[in-house]
Amino acid sequence: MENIIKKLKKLKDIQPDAEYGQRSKLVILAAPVFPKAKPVFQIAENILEILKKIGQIQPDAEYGRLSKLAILNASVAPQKRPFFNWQLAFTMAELLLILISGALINDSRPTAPNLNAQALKTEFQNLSINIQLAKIEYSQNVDEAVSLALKEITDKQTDHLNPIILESEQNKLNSESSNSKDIDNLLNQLLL
Amino acid sequence: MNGEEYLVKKAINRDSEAFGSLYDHYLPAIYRFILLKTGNKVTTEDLAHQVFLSAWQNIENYQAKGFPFSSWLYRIANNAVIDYYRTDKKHLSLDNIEEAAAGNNLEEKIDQRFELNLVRTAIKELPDEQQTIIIMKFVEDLTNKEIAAALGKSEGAVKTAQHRSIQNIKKIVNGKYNQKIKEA
Repeated sequence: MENIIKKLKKLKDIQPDAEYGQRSKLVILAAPVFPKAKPVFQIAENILEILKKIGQIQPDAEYGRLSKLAILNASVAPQKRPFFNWQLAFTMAELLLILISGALINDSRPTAPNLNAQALKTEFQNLSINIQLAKIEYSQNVDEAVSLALKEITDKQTDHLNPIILESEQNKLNSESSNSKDIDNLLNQLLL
Repeated sequence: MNGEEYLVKKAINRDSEAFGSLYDHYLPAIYRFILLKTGNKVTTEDLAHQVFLSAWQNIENYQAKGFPFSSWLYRIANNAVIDYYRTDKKHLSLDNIEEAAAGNNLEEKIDQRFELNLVRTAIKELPDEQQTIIIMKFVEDLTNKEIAAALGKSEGAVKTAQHRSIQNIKKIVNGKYNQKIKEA
């Protein structure tokens, strides 16, 4: 019995391998630590607190400084003026009212020709006719000019091809050249 | 006329110092709003910059009508985020948020990161409008009137959506928590 007790006591001397102990410690300390288990309801109930913690997030101070500088130095395009101008609209409305009321007060008076639909229609129709007439006139003129040119080209009796006229022109040119010789001589005398 | 109205009026008249003060006051809130929606620091910095640049360039279009300047800014920010997701669908990186919000103590940090991660991912699973309402109401403490103005909704609709949002987020958090425990 005593022997057994001694043997059991001897078991106390068993030691783990030192290297194993070292390695195991390192691995344990390097392992990710799983968070303390909280009851599920606690996280769900504390959700508003957790959301408040998110509210502590701040942007990087240097980023904020540089971004602000860039924004304030950015060119600002001039704002487009609103297309609708109230002042102009009121003025136009007033003008229109005056015109309409004027027409209503004295209905017997002929209405302004510019506002008379019939007059505008007639004017428009006349305009169309005028345009057509001008077009016809232009076409006629062009036709005449073209036919004249063609006639001149084909006609061998025309002035510019007449040999007598051509000869007289030649002589005239020669006489002009002799004049120019006289002028040259005079100029030479002056220079010398 | 209160201080903000005075600053806004000066900013409308192109007083850069006044706009600078408004920027300093509202940047953190707008930054958080965008960060919670995008989950990415770089994207958030880009979008927040765009929001304030747009506000500065178009401040003449701001009409108070009894609503604070923040409602107008949130509206611009919300549209910027919508445009961002419409054109550039990127994966979310949540690290920045938990890192930014966690405490100093290591244990506290781990605890908070876990909780924040849960809540953050839960927010992301909500419909877009409920996300916006949760952030505006419970993170930024905006009044229902301000939220309604920013979202173009009635105060009644905002209240109803708030109630629904908080119930939904609790459900999502519980589900996620149980899932994490099982995985562990």
